[in-house]
Amino acid sequence: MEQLEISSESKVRWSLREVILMALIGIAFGVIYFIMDPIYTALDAVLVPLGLHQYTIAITIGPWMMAAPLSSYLLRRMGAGLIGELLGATGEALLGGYWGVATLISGFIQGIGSELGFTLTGYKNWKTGLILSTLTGTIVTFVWSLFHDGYLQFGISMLIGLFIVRWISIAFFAGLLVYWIVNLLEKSKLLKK
Amino acid sequence: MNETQKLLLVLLISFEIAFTKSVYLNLILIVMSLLILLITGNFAKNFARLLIVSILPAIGSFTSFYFFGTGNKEQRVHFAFVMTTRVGVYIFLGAAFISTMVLYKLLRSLEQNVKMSATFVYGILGAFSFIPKIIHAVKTIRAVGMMRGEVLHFWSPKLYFKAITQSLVWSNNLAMAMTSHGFEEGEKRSYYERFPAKFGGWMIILIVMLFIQYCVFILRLW
Repeated sequence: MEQLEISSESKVRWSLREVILMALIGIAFGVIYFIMDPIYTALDAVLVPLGLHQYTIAITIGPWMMAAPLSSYLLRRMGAGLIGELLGATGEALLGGYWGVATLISGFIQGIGSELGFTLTGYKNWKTGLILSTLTGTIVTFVWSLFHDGYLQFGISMLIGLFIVRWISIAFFAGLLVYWIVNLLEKSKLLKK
Repeated sequence: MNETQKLLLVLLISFEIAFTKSVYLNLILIVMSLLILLITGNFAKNFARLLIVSILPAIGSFTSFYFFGTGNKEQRVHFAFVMTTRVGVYIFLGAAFISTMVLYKLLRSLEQNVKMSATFVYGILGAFSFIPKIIHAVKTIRAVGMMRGEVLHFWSPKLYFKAITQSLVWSNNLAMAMTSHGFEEGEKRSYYERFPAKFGGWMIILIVMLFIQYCVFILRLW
């Protein structure tokens, strides 16, 4: 198979191929998350009677945050995380996720959160950026959840628990897994440097 | 109302609802969404499905705030109902919007009204037509894995790697096909169909948003 150039010359402008690529990846990830659905439902069915539904959300948030760091890490460009995540969220919304348009809002929040990690390194060190993005992603989405998911009503111990679980989920899926995936892509020599 | 205005209204409502704590307002919004579904004739098709998907998150929201919320019992029950109905608003409002939306109209109206770049508009439209192929591709990737005795879970990097590889090839081909059919990035385009933002649409947005503020700040609905 011929080698494909992953990122165009421009550091700002998205080429048609990159837009299509990130939208396709967003849709593909959306399809993969549907594999998670039965597990999510089974987990939720156990946790709901205990009043721990919020933990189901915290455990499973990681996969939803993968598009942003993957996009930043692949395209290595300012704003790639935010736009990548928005494209991913559009793909997910189009697949018929029942959250509908609200997916776009969460996509925006998640994109900003993840992007911030790469911004903190000044878009220079992408590996550090990836690690930082799991933390900033967790903080930003957590602050949003304080209002959107009503976390402000919980006691401090519940909040700490939810924060830690969320960070673990994001660190695994949007950090480690993204790193492994990009490693596989680099090893495959499919991408032109 | 054109599609951009519809999207704006739904986004505004979704955003504000994340901060309000009114059960009745949420119920009003749910009823309005159901009415839209009813008028557009998508009620029968959607209602049962939406009810089923909303059961777990709705009950889950209720139990978690009832058991672990702060405040006295009355406050906890109130907030538990707020969160339960909020889930309902998101699900039914989203469905009402999607049921009246045509993707190409939405994207073209965004292109004309908020100057979204044509590269994004047509890139997303192109990618959208790949949905059935992508669903098929993910199934194939997993089946191929099974043939080698390898179960690809949603946490397997290999599954994502293969899906991305496929996306790389398709995005390259589709971009090339679009370019060869005359799509030029950054070129000025003329429009065959126009989707102007009408005055009436702005008025609807204004009235709905004012009504929500009225319910929240003046009536202080429970």
